[in-house]
Amino acid sequence: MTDKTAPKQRGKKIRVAIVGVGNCASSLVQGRYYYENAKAEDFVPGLMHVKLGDYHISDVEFVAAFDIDKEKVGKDLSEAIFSGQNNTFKFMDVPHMGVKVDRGMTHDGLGKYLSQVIEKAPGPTADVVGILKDRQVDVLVSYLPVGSEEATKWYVEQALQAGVAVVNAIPVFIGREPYWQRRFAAANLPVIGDDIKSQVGATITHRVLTRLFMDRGVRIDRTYR
Amino acid sequence: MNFGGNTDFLNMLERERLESKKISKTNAVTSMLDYDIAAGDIHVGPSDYVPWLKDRKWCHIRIEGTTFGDVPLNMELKLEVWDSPNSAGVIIDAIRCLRIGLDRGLKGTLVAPSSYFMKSPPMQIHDDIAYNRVEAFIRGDDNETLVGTEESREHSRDLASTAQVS
Repeated sequence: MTDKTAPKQRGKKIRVAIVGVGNCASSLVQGRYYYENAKAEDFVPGLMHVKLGDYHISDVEFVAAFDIDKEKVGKDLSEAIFSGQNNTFKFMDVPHMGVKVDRGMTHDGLGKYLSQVIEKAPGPTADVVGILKDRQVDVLVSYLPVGSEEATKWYVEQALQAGVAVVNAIPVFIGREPYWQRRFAAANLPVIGDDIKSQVGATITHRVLTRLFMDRGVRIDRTYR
Repeated sequence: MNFGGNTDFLNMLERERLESKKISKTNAVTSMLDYDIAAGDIHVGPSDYVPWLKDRKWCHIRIEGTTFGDVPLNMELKLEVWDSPNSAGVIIDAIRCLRIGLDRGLKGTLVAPSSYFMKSPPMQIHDDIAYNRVEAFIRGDDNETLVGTEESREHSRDLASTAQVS
């Protein structure tokens, strides 16, 4: 259980665990290496700062990853991000990381259609709490598939038990729910959520155009996107 | 109309899995308007899975409007993006803000970073204000968190359910 009296000793690096080694994880890991040597004064598209507070991009270290796809589990994270159904833009060769993808929990993570193209890795679910503790993880990033209500809550429980902060990148409501806010507060942990924004995606574009019509007095009769 | 070739689009063919996503995206538009638009006149949602698009996402937006004299004005736009890199930078900033939160012993939901980085935060704040608040958070001047016992939380939740931002 989390020791609530003594704050964890944390190093200068940010130790991160990834749940769901899909395209988003791929872009995240690639980006970490792509901008490893960026200078503090550089403009990097999509980041507020190269150095945010005391932390440079290269201070983000991936130390654990969980997935259920047999094409990914057991592989080094640098290889798993280009495996299975992953098909995003490759802008960086990622060096061997020495981080093996562990077998995660499925619950409702694998929907009707994904289960037709993804074969579950054999073997039991890894000791997620143990791994998070042993590797002194600071932050867990959840990239579970949309609709993974139960799986999201399960991983959040593991993070709370292990004393790990959470970024909830998917549209399952955690950070905005008072119940989970209380749970994180009780564990002395912060959380950021829910549902990560894109830099410029369809929702913001549609929203800005709607605003433009409003501001210029054009009545909107019908719309789709 | 939204097309993509990644597993997000494949997964979303199962419509039951995306109720909350669809609600939040519809609200993102309707909350901009100070008049009601009939449910049948607004359509938001993923349309299909097209494998050869890979991780690209093509989005077609059409808005039909009325100007002075009840004269029509229509707009169409197509956005092509690689879906996953589009949010990876935002995650790197979110991870670093969380670590700052840990360093400061903050607990609960970090208000400013959630509002700026997330589509469904507990409190919706306009992007320009949220951006400045994250800068203030980084400096140590804005450490607001929500711990689930706030009196105003029902109000915040109402805001969150009616004013989504992407």
